[in-house]
This record gives sequence, C-alpha cells and structure tokens, in this order.
Amino acid sequence: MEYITTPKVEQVKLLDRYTSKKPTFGTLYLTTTHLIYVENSSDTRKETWILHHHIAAIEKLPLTAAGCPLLIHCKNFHVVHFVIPRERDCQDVSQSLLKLSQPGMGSMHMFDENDRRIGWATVDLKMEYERMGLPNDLWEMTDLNKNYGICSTYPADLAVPSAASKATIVGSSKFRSRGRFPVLSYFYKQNNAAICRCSQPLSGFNARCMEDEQMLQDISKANPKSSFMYVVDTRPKLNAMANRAAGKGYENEDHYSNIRFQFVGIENIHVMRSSLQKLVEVCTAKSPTMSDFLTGLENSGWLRHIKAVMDAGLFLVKAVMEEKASVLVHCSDGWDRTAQVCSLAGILLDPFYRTIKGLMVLIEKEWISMGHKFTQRCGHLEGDPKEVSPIFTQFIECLWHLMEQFPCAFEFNERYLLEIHDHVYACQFGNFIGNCQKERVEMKLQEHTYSLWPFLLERKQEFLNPLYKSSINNEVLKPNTLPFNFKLWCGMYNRFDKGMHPRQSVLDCLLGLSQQKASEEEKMNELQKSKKGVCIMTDSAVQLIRGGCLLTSVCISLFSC
Amino acid sequence: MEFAELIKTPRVDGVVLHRPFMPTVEGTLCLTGHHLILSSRQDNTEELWLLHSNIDYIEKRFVGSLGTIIVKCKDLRIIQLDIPGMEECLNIASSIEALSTLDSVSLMYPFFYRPMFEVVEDGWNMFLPEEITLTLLTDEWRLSSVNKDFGVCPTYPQLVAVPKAVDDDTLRKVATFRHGGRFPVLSYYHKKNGMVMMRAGQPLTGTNGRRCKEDEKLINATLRPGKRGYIIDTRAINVAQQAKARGGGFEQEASYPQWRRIHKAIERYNILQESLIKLVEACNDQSQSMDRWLSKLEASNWQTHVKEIVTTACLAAQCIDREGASVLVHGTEGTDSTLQVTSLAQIILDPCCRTMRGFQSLVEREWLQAGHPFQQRCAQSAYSNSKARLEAPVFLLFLDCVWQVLRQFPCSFQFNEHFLVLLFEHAYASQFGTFLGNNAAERLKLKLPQKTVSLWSWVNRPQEMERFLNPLYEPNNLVIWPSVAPQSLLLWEGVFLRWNRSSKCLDEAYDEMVHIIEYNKELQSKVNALRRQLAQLETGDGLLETP
Repeated sequence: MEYITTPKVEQVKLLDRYTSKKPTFGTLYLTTTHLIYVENSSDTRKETWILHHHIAAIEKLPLTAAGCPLLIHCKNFHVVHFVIPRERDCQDVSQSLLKLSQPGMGSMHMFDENDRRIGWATVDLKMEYERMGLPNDLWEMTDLNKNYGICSTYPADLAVPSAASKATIVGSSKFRSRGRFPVLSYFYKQNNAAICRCSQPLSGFNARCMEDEQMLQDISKANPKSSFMYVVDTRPKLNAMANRAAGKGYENEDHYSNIRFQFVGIENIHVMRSSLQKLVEVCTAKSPTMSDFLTGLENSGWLRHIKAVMDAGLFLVKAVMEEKASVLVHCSDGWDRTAQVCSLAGILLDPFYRTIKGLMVLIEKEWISMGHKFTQRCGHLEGDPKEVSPIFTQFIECLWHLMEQFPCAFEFNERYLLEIHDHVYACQFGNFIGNCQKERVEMKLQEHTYSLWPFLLERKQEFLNPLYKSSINNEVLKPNTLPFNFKLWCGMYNRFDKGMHPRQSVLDCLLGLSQQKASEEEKMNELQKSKKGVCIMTDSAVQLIRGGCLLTSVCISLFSC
Repeated sequence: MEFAELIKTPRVDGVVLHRPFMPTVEGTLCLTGHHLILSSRQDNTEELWLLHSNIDYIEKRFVGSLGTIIVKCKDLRIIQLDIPGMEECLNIASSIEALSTLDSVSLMYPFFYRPMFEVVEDGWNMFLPEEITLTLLTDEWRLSSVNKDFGVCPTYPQLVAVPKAVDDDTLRKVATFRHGGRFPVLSYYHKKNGMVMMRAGQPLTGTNGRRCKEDEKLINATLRPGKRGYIIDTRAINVAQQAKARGGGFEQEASYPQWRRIHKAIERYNILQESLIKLVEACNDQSQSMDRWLSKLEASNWQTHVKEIVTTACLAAQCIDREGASVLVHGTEGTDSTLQVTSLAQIILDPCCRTMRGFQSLVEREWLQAGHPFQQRCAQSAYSNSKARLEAPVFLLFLDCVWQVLRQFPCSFQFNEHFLVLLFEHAYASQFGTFLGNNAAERLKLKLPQKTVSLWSWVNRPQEMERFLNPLYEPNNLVIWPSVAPQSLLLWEGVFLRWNRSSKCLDEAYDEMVHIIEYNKELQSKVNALRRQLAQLETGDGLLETP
C-alpha cells in the first residue's frame, strides 16, 4: 500500500492506437493489485483492468498541451496509452506502477492470500510417469535427488534407466553443466524409445567422463531394439563450439559409443528477447503498409525461431517414431530450448498432452518441475533484465501453429493457451513462481498459494474446442514446417486490438451450438419421458374405451392435469 | 474435325502420372480435342481429365528415352507425366501446346460440351439486365437503350441505368468525352439513404483541359440539392497526370465544383501479372528458409494489392454510407480496378451481394455485363513466361478480397470459400460459356446463350449448390466494415497453397463443423416434432385416432 501515493486520478484520456476515433475520458484508480480505468460515458460502464504483474514497461512520453502521456506495455501484449492532465499525477502513477509491477520478494501479492492449499494435487507427476508405463524393466524412478543434493534445479523425483548405478548418475552429474544429468522426459511405450534431457557436457576441448559415457550407454541400452541413439544439441553449432573455450561444449562422437550427434540451431535467450521486442514493434506500428509489416516480420526473425523450435520437435518425433531411436536433448543449461523441444515432442507424440488436463501435466513436468526459470524469464521480480526471455511464450505459440494445422486434434481452444499465458505472468496463482522445485519448497508455495489448474478446470467449458475428435485422435502429429505454414499470431500479439480480429467468431458460434446441443438433448429426454407417460395413459384409456366404458371426458380431464 | 491435325499422337501406353497428394497412376494417355486424359483402366484409381485450356505452360525433360512433361495449370496445380519414347513425348508436348492455345473462341470446349444434367433453370436467363437494374431503380433513374447496337460504347451492355434527367443524345455526347465511350452509369443504389455509386472511363481532358458540359450535367444530375459527391480515381495522382498526355485525364475541380476527387493507387496489368507470378513462385519453392519466404512474399506485392483494393472499396462504401454522398469511380478504361472497387464496395454495403444468388448477380452485373475483358485477362495464369500484354489477375484479386472479408465475417456470407475457388477456376478454364468473350457485344456475337451452357445453370442445381453453402450463414443486414490492417489480411491459402500442402486436416475440420451444425438442426427438429406429438396426445387427438 505504501507504494500508492495517488490512488485516483480524474479526467484521464485513453487514446486508441489504431483508429483516430475520439479518445475517451475516465478515471484511473490504483489498487494494490490492479490499475483500473473507468470510462466516463454515462450509458455503459466500460472498464479496463490491468494487473500490476502484467506490466512490462512504463514509458513517460514528452509533455503535451493536453497533459502528460503515459504508455504502458504489458507482458500479455496489451498496450494502453493514457494522457494524464497534471504532470505531478503522472509522475506519481508511473512511480507507483514501477514498484508495484516488480515487487521485491515477499511482497508478491499472492503471499497476502492466506494459508490455503487446495488443488495442488490436481496434477500428480508420479501418476504421469505411471501413465507413461514407468517403472518397468528398462526405466525406474529414483529419489537420489530428494534433497536436491545432486542437482539443485532438478525435482526430487526423476526417472532414469534401471541399469544406471548411483555412481554413474553422480559421476555424470559432475560432468554436466549445473549438475543436470540425463533424465527421462518421455517414454514412448509403443516401441520403447525414450526422450531424455540434460545440460551440456563439461567437455571443453578434450575432457571426458567415464560415468557420463556410461550414462548415455545405459540410456541407449534401455531401448534394446535400437543400435544407436541420437544426441541432439539444440544450439547453433557456433554457440556450442564457443562454449568449449569455457570448459563446456558438446559430446565428442568418438568418446561415446553408438551415438549420432546433431545440432538443430535454436538461438539463445538473448536473441529471442530482442526478436520479440522487434516483433512487438512491428505489431504496434501505427498504420504500417503491407510491405513495412512483412519486412518487419522478417527482420524480427520471430517466425524463423518458431520454425526452428518446431523443426527440432519434429526431428525428435521422427527419430522416436520412424527410427525407433532414443534421443538425448540438451542445450546449454537444459532449461530453455530443451524444455521447448521436449515438451513439443511430447505434444506431437502423445494425444493425452493435447487435452486440457494433459497440457497441465506436460507444463508441470517439462517446465515447472524440470526447472525452467519462470521468475527470471518472466521478470516477476526486480532483477537482471538480461534473464528475461519469451521462451515459454514461444512454446505456447508453437501449440497455436499446431492447432491451426490440426484443428481437430486438440481438446482445448486458443483461449486456453492465452489464459495460461496470462497466468504465467500474473502470479495470481503459485505455479509459475520460483525458478525450480527447491525454491518453491523453500517458499512453501503450496501452503501460501493456490494452484492455477483447478481454477482452469472449473472453467473448462470456455476452453473446449468444439471440433475436437478424441476418437480418431490417436495419431502422432507431423506438422508441415515449410515456412508458409507460419504466420503472425494476431490473437496473441494484437490480442487487445479488437478491430483487427474477425468480427464474427466461428469458435463462439460453435461453442454456442455445443451448449444448445446439450440443452436440446435434455429437452428431448424430458419430452420422450413424458411421451412415454402419456402413451401409457393413452393405452389404458383405449382399454377403457374398448371395455365399453365411454367415459372419454374423464380420460381427457385426466390428461390435462 | 479440326483438331485431328493438331493431335500427332492420340494415345500412349505406359505413362506415369504424378499429382500432388495423390498416388502415382500408370496408364494410357489419350489426347482429345479438348482434354488430356489419363486412365489406368482400373476401377479403383481416379482418372485424370484435364482441359487443354487449363494448361498454362509445359516443360519437357529427357533422361535417355524416357521423357517427362511437366504440366503447369492455370489453377496453379502442377502435374508430371512420364512418357516412354522420345518421339511420343515430343508429339504429345507439341499437341498439348497447340491445343491449349487455340486462337478461335468458337473452338473452345464450351461450344462442344453437352451437359450430363438437366438444365432446370437456365443461367443465361437468370440475370437479365432489365431485371437486374429495374429492381434498383427509383424514380430518379431510368434504363436507356442508347447502346442497343453497341455503337455508343462497345464494352457496355445494351441497357444501362442513367439519371432520368439525362436524355440519350446527351449520353452520346458524354460517351465521346469518356475513355472507350464508357459514360457514367449506375453501379449501385444504396437504399438506406438513396446515395449512388457510378462508374465510368476516364474523362478525355487531354493536356489542354478539355471540358464537356454534358458530362458535367450528367454527373451533377445524380447529386441531391446541396450535396457533394466524391470521385474516386483508382490511379495515383501522377499516373492520372501522365494520362493527360495520351488524351486522358481526370475531372478538374473548376469544372466539377460539387465533387471532391480522391486518388488511390491500384495497380494494373503487367504489374499485377508479375505480382501473381512472383507469389506463386514463392509458394511453390519448398526449399527456402523463413526469411526467404517472407521476403519473397513481400517482394511479390500481392498482399499490398489486396490491401489497396480493400482500402479503396472501404473508402467508397464510407462515402456512401457514412458521409451520405454519391460516388463516381473510374481509373483509365473503367474495366479493371474500377470494377474491383465498385463490386467489393457492394459486398460491404449490400447484404444481398453476400447471398449465393446476389453474388452471382454481382459477378454478372459488375464484371460480365460491365465489360471486364475476361478472355484477355485470363488467357494466361502464373506459369506462362510469354510476355504478358493483356493478361492480369484482376478478377482473382477481387475474389481474394472477397475471401478476406468472408474470413473476417465468417457468418455473413451465404456461400463459402469453395465457391470463390470455383469461380477462379472457371474464369480461367471451363466447360461453361459464362466467362468467354470480353464483353456483352462479343458474347452476343458468339451466341453463347444458344451454343454453350452457363456456369450458373450447373452451380444452382441443389445437389451442386450444397457444397458451396456456408453452414454458419446468418443473414446480416448491416454494412460490414473489414479491417485493412496488414495483420488482418492473410495469404489466401485455399488458392495459393492448395497444391503445396495437404488440406486433409482442414477439410476434416470443415466437415466436422458442418456435421455439428447439421446435428443441431436435426436435434431441434426432433424436439419440435416430439413437442407437437405430445401436444396432440395431450389434447386427446391421439386418443380418438388410435382405435
């Protein structure tokens, strides 16, 4: 509360970025959690709510005659342009917002919610490993990391090859950046091929590690029918080579038996951050020509990066499906590109992950539990701006591209993706707070916050894809990744520019029809029941007539009641 | 038969056909006067029947004695034929080349095609000009038959709608002042406020600023007292200036004080044709990176053209509906960009044009009758490397724009995307006579209604129509304003990526949508039937009927 010096400012102008339509006037309120703008118009009360946590940047533009312009960019790509009459108020508001949007640890408003831990059991990763078919002869669960002693950014429960000894695991972890040794990401039970993930080896120019080599061999042998395994380094080759000078690097094919090594060339977090920045500039440009737009889109490189992630996911799927080979995936630390690629491969391979519940499980498994650094990547707290990067956003966008190509393959619709994306940045729920499991346990998040998932399950109806066909949906998805399949996701990056979207929504039509269908079916059942009832009565009445009792009037009066 | 001498080798066995998304077929290749046919003579494989007129370009390749012909079609499909024997291959290739470029219209397939269906409603009589325009007329407009013998304007139909206050003599004089004799005529009457849209050819002001009192009188006669009008010139100001040197020009403010002129740059002819060629080349290149794709897409300028046309049509519609002003649209000839603008503006303004019949009528009125030279514009498509002179994808661009609006208002159109694709295909190659000829006069001379079948006769049969109806359609009586932001205008995948990627999953989704809607309708009618039954039973009717 101490951050808010001016809780209410009147006569604030809200500019519309795209139409030269008259600006609206209204009142701006600051609460502890939201910035709320209420338009003055008398007939309908129009409100704009912005969660402080969604604010990415606050820009004070040069003073104009009309007042002091304040431009707010949000993490969910909402951009609002206020003009505040007095500079003093503008200064106060922007100062408050600056502090409120990136609180220090402990003041994230989630912590004000009292001790409740409902719904944290919605997603149970142990059950997920069981669903995958674990444990079995080849793979087992291990609690070697239960105190986060071997790898501080890994979860307590991990799946490793049954053949891997403790010494192998510990030895391998010492040879991997930040101790992130190879563990199971996904087991394709149809043919025993597995997708595993880790961080880069500390190989430098010539170092090797027997335990690490053993570990890879154990993974390879856990797929007895295949004579080799892939090691996929998701970085561009140049980056990986540069890492060798720092004592890191990539696997030397000569040192490991029967591996096939492959680079797939996804850029690092810094490239992605600046790419998104350029993309947002393109999307928020004022009346660009088609040529400006397409050139800007190209120069941002954004779709190139999305394609690279998709290609890498597809590479994994083909290896597992067609070559029946296991794959070990890593990048540098194994928590960004590796998370993208492994989770995408999961989506393509396993229809379960394409359901509402399944996507929750996948995000918990590959992102939250495996230590994608949400706090840093999303800039939840004051911190190093160079750690912020839209890695998770890219994953969500890949799903959208898949939904465009396979409209019947997903149980959920675009709104579900946007909702999850909003919550990743909102910190209203505890799931995406913290960088790894150890941190979350230390923060006692499960005691202090709610889980997002039950909240989303409650609203399941909104998120359903009416075209979803679960019955014919056991297929592996193999998306077409030729460049022309990728286009700007207007629903994400221009989501708040209502005028740009189709004015009539096919999704809404179809969701309406689903509801209508349910109510009609109910009506039909009722009608059929009462018809049966009436028929029975009619039959007995007919009996009566046939019996010579012509008391029709009695019968009729019977029906009318 | 005239074609016999063009067909050097009528039949080759052992030819292998490769088509996008279909298994290869081996069979016998036959050439007829109008078709290239490949049949495996087995029941279970699909035959290929390709109209020669659909062939845009062919390439020959030889490996030893095995020849390969790559056939590039006007509908943008590319197929490959492997033909054993060099001589056969060369013969086939030269025959196809000759047969796909017949000079005489009357040798085209529509003159030979006999329908396998009964023509219930003859498309040739569906949209008689009288009918079309009379429905629109108020007491301020009349039908003039000044062009009965096509003497005043060779590219106009026999009947045109003009202001009642202007007599035929005046029209004749105005015609001499407008390019191609295309004097201003009524294109659209906005019932809501009585405003009109007219179209014409450019005024022939020339370098010394010629005036024509009759022209000024005619177009002023369309203004209500005290009202101003807008002239939308579809050329950039400098292009319009340059036209003066060739005798053309634009309306000077001094001579038309009640009119405000706005210039919008819509490209024409070879620029559009080149744009199409580049776009299709980009779409067909499967080897490229994302950057190359986006840069080629940008360089093709196709999307820019789409944006320009939609923007100009919105402007025209805005003048009429929002400003309450009448509009005159012209470019140079008034047969290309002018028609793109006037017809698209009607889609925006008039809910009738968004129905199946209404859209057909719009194509008939604003394109066929209005004298868009289909024969010339659609002679070649994206693959031909002969120097384009009169070819231009003007109509395809219009269809693309309609698709953009349809995508933005998916419930406001009675027809679906398939219908637009169908029109694209038939404009370039067809068994029907609808798109033959360049204007009404030519069609009359060719006796098309007597000698050929109309596309509309076929499309409007219930069994065909079904495929082209939009299941989401809910009549919407409002003016629909499309967004022209670059983010809102997408590449028309249904045409440009149609042969480059499988549409299986998208088709499945469409079918599923149709299924959901049908199921709901059935359910509703079942519920209603049950209700009626129950009501009957309850009132005792059932009781009395049962014994």
